[in-house]
Amino acid sequence: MMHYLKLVRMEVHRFRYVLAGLAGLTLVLQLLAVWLTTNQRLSELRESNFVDSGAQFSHSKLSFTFILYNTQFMYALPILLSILVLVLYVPGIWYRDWLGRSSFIYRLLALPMRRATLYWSKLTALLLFVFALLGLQAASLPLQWWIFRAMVPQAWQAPSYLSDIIGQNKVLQVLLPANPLDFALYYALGVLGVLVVFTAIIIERSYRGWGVLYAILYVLACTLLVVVPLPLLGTNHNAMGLYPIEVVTIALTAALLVLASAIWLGLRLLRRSISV
Amino acid sequence: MRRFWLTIVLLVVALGGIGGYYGARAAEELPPFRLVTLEGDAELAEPIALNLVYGSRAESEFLRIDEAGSHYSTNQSVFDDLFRYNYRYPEVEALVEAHRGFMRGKLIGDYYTDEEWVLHAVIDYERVAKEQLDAYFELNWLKVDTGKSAGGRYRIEAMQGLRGYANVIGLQRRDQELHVLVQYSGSNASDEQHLGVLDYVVSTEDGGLLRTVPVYEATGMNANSSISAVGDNQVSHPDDYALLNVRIREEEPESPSVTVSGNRIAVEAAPTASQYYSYRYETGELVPITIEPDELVRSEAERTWQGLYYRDGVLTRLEQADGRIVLHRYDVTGQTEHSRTELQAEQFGDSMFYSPGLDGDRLYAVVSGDPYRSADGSFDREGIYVIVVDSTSGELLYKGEVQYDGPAEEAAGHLAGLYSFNLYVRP
Amino acid sequence: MIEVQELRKRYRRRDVLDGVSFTADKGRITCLIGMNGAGKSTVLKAIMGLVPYRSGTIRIGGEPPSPAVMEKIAFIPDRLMMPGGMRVREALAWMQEHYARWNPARAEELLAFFRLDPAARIAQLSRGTEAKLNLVLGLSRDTDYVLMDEPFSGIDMLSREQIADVFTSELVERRGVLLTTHEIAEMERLIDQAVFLDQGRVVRDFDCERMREDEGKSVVDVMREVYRA
Repeated sequence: MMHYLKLVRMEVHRFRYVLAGLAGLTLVLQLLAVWLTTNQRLSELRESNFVDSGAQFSHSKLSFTFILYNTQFMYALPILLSILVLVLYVPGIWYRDWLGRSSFIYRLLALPMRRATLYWSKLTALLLFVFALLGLQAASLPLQWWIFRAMVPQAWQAPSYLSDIIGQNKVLQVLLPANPLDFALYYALGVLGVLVVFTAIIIERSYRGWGVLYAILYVLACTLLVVVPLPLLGTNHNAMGLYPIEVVTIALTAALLVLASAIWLGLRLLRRSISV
Repeated sequence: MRRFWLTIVLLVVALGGIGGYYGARAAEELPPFRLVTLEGDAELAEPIALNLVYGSRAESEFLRIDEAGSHYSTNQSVFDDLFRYNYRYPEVEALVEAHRGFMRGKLIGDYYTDEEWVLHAVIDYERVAKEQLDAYFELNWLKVDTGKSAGGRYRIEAMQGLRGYANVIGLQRRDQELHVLVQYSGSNASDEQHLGVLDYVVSTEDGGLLRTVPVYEATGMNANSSISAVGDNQVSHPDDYALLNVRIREEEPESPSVTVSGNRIAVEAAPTASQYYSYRYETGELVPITIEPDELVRSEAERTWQGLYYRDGVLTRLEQADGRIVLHRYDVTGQTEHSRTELQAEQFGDSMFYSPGLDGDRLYAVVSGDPYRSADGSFDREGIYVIVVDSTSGELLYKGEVQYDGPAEEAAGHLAGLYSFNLYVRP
Repeated sequence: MIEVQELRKRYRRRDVLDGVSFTADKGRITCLIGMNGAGKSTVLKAIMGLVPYRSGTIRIGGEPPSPAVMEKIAFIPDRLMMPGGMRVREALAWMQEHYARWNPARAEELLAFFRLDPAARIAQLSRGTEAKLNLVLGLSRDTDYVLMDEPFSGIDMLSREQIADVFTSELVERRGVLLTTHEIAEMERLIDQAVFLDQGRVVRDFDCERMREDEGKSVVDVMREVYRA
């Protein structure tokens, strides 16, 4: 247990500058986007001699929802960048330890602990990075909202609702879906993907040479098993004579099987076949 | 412990940020409403649901209100999407629950159910040659008490050589004989249109085709003509008659004329001649029915609805324009008697009718006010009422009102944001 | 003692280890000797579980390898194997964090002995300094056994002398040391047991003192015999 926590801490420590950079970039760029758009809109309003027609959603009043609607690119850019960096770090967190002639992996594999600890500590660290950045994104929304309220005179403000605000940006809609069940589903699939890639990496490192091919085939096989059942069996036209709930159950079972096999295979190879 | 500070910070930000987000989202509820009984038989409210839109947010929110409360579709999960057929077709859902084995693989098609039997029919096409499809219908039947089922696949020869489609418009059982009413429409090699209805009679004893009754046949009309059955629900119930509407449509006008009246724009459509027939399963007789032309003149009226309903030998024609509804009832078995009932929206509390519909002898409708917003953004109306009226006598059986389920001060504001009423009555 | 029995490993159709068997006793310095590619490093890595092997038995202190057993054995690989951005003191801290039997006093001693700068970054260290730090990391743990892979390769002469001094000290005396080298001349006076590997097999396994007394041969002499034959 202690080895696990210490290794998680080590992974966090190694990534701290990248994390700080992504966090800072997100905060800054998004605040900037909000500030610029609000400013622009305010000056437009001033020029047009604002007249309050009194209607609930008159075009003249400014809502935070509206601001978000008009900042798509600049707002999404740091998020997409973060996603890219994190995706690259899924293999990165492993291959980093094999760099050069002086590979840190020697030390890690020689530690007096079960090899599985290494696997779980890297997964935990990655998940921490993902959810922390996500949490930061969620937390920066009220901050941006506050800035907006500070900038716009009270009389010109129109109310906004969180569900509408999120709905304005396509990236946010996927990252922070409306229904917590969807959140669990998307991120569970994400974890599944990460673990499949982890196992593929371990395959590659265990069978040098042909390992790359095995790893790629493994990823393809897993992807097929997870992705194919649902559209193949279909939920609406039940060509195979299965009810929708049965099809969903099959798809979920397939995904769970792939998950279990990825973990089992990855840990087994890590214990027995991995080679420095 | 000190060295773990960053890890702990990450954990706190993750849990706090995401947890806070979903907490805030849950706290920010969309306004709840409820259908409350004002007078009449409260049990009639049970199968009623009102689908409408709440427009006071940046994006329109679709919701459904019934006596239990309001249900918004925004926060539905992707899982709900997968199971949506349950809500769309509750009768089929009921069949699935009662006969899970038989209904397997039969979620599409037409059904019939009575106390002893369940029938399912669906059209299937087979590619015979390039651009040549053969049409079949698959019929399956289940005897409920024994649990035994059987079925067969029968060819629709009338479709031979035609390029078009067929569909099942009626499904009935008379003792050991099963009737499948099939409508076909298509063009042959020389582009000549064929349109027709056939009654295939199948025996439950051996599954053999006993006879094919030609019900209706015509050629040479415009390709957009069609035949449908009035009161064609997905699940049929025992009836001696099928009511057919043969719509012969002429060519679309080259340059259709456009009329503007008030806020409505009407585009001239191709003239369609509708002829109604009653078909008696037992005898195979097809008898034309004369229906009087519309009473309510359409070009003046801003909101109109016209509907034809059939059940158990009674054909009801419903006309609605703004705050008036006129019901004509015809007795299909005798084709002679009819009654006429007229209703005014003011009788029930406001100025307009919306989404009227008939279920047997009962008329369901929404009664509310002017659909156009006034200066302050709200709708001008007394209230949103749902009424159930006996269509033979005009007597009010039930009246309910959509009310806001929360503090009274906020009620008017939230109710003002509701619009676009669609009444749904579970069969 | 460390027991290796019938160790076999195949890598790309070559029998890297073809039934290697020997013992390294506690309190003695055993040396695996052989040409480049004879499989010496592989044996050490196999004992440490860093490479898989096809068949054979490995026992450390009578027990098969396990996480608990890894606490008793220190591995000093041929390179430092630490991230370049780490500082010397951070590397020591890392070892201390993860190993129960870390001896901080000894670590300080050895640091001073080798005159290593705690604040220096690992990437900036010379080969010789790197090797010294490697020794510090390995020997500052209170383990029963120490495995060393090519401790002298690529090291300058002065550093070698310093390292050799450590060998004769008590730091090493009480433990079981298993090391590999192909530079026998320097090591000769330090080792107790010599195990010759050739083409994946043990071809000679003898006590150096006895060989000198009984047959009057030095290890280098035996080497010439074995590899010139």
